[in-house]
Amino acid sequence: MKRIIALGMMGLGVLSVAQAQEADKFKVYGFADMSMEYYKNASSFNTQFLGQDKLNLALTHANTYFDFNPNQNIKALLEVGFTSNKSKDVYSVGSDPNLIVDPSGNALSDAQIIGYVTSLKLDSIVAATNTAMGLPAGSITLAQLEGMAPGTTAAVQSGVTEALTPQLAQARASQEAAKEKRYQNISIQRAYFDLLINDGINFRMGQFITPAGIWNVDHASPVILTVRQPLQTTVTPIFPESQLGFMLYGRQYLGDHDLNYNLYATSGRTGPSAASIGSGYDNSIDSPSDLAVGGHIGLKLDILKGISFGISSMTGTMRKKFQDQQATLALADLLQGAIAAKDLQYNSHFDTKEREFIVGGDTKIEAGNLTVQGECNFRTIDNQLVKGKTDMLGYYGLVAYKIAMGNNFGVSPYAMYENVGWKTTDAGARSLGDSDINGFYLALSGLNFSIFTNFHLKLEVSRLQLLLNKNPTNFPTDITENDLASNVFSSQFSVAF
Amino acid sequence: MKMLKNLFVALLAGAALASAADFVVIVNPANSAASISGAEMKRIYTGKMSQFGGQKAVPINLADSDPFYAAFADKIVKMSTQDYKQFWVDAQIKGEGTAPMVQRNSAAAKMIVAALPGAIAYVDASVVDATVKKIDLK
Repeated sequence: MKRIIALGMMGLGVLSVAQAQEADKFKVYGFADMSMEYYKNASSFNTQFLGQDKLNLALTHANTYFDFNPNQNIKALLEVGFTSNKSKDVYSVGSDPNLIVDPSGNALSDAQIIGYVTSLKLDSIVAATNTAMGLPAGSITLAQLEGMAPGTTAAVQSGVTEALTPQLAQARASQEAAKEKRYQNISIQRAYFDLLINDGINFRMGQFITPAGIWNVDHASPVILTVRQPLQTTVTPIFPESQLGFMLYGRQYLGDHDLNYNLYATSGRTGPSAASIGSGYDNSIDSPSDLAVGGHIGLKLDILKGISFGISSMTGTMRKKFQDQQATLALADLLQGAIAAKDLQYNSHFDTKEREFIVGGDTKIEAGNLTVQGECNFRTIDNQLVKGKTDMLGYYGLVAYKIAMGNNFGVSPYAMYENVGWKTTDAGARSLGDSDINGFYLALSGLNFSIFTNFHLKLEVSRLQLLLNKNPTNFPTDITENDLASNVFSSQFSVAF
Repeated sequence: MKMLKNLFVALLAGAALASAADFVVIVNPANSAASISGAEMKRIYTGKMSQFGGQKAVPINLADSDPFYAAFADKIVKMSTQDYKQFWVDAQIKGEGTAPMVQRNSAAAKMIVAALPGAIAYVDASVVDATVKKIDLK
């Protein structure tokens, strides 16, 4: 009888091992967080800068991870993010009559306006266009307008735009009314394969989070102590948040201490070309030669509860080619129908050609319940189209103290100060936005409640102060410091699952 | 003199507490290692070390209701049980791996170690038998 029981137990044991091994190969987990922010004095400047309304409620993240580990040498990770944010549309239509946004909020170019407005079946545009161009009534039909949209000559575009002015104004007004909307977005946060050789050498291929500093890697709300990461990792990212390419990484053991490294070669920073900033469209071609290389090396000392130091660096180019389509035709040929492909000419030119170099340092000291953490990053951008450069320096320091309340509860008071500044020595380096603002500081403090490990509730007050150039060119002269500041109360609830 | 006496009593009490929480480390017999350091054990149980004794390391944790779990977290990982759980939640979100397999008691952990090459566990010495290999914790 004992033997039967033993055999049965062994059978259950083997089954349990098999089940455990299967379950270990594929795992699904993730996190979600919901946040509420109240801006006590939301000025138009910081509203545009941060893309925030006075009161914002958002399901900031609902991220799901699909983790596949078929054997000890292969690992794949896919992180899919979902965001739902009720916020004000910060896109500015501006005073340019050629700028208009479609119902989705995308800006339209001249040629696209023709397609867009004609799609509204505004027949009156046809007559107005003929009049504006000095043509007899009926010379240009609605169908012809639609057909020639991709390659209209400047003269026709000008005539159409002039004819459309009242409609543009009307459409712009409706866009103003429709500014407040709910944004929903699904994105691939990371997707990569790992080839795991040993602890010292591993390869990664795909889209991964840039190994830079501390909080860019920590990445998500259950790990981040504050409601909002330092803005130098999000709003004005000194290092790109994620990149596409190859990475070599591993660690070496130095007694009780660890030395870890990441080296990568990627397609570099991705972003809109300079010409497309503000237009909402990026009709450019990302050059395959935009390579970037970089890495991070870190030393974690097994002293106190852990002391770590790290250095990050990256250099790369960002070149974007913008492609124009042009067709020069006699008006008689144009009126006969759509433009033939043979008449189209394509002209490519660089509208962004920048080389950047970034270097940063990070440190974290954990002693008992106290955590002190800081990062300092410097980025210089050499604009190769327009002689000149932009330098950017950002740093932050954080201190937190954890108070345990039994096995399942804890609260960590924290405070953080961040300062980011930039200086542009030419008008061509547009990637940092309006040159009248040359930096900001962010001061915040709050409480992070930890509940059953997986749940966190954060309450935080912060002040964001934008810093203005001494001689601003685009701002009213009577602007005050408070006009450029935001005092914010934030709360966030996050759960890891 | 009184101070020395108090110190001696305190040391005795500490030693008694330590022995009550003592555990042994076991591996699968296929594992070539004869001993393991505390630092190596910590690395394996925090996902930093993936190979041990010529095998892919498969750490097994005990359930938090088991008294050895708290002792292990304190002595080896050097974290409170809450912090150790939080560590794995964070590591998972950062994409640095997932928490070790959990078994409800020493007997169940030993059974997994016996069947799974590379498995390593800390267990009550009384459950150790010939199906697993006990190694020294340095």
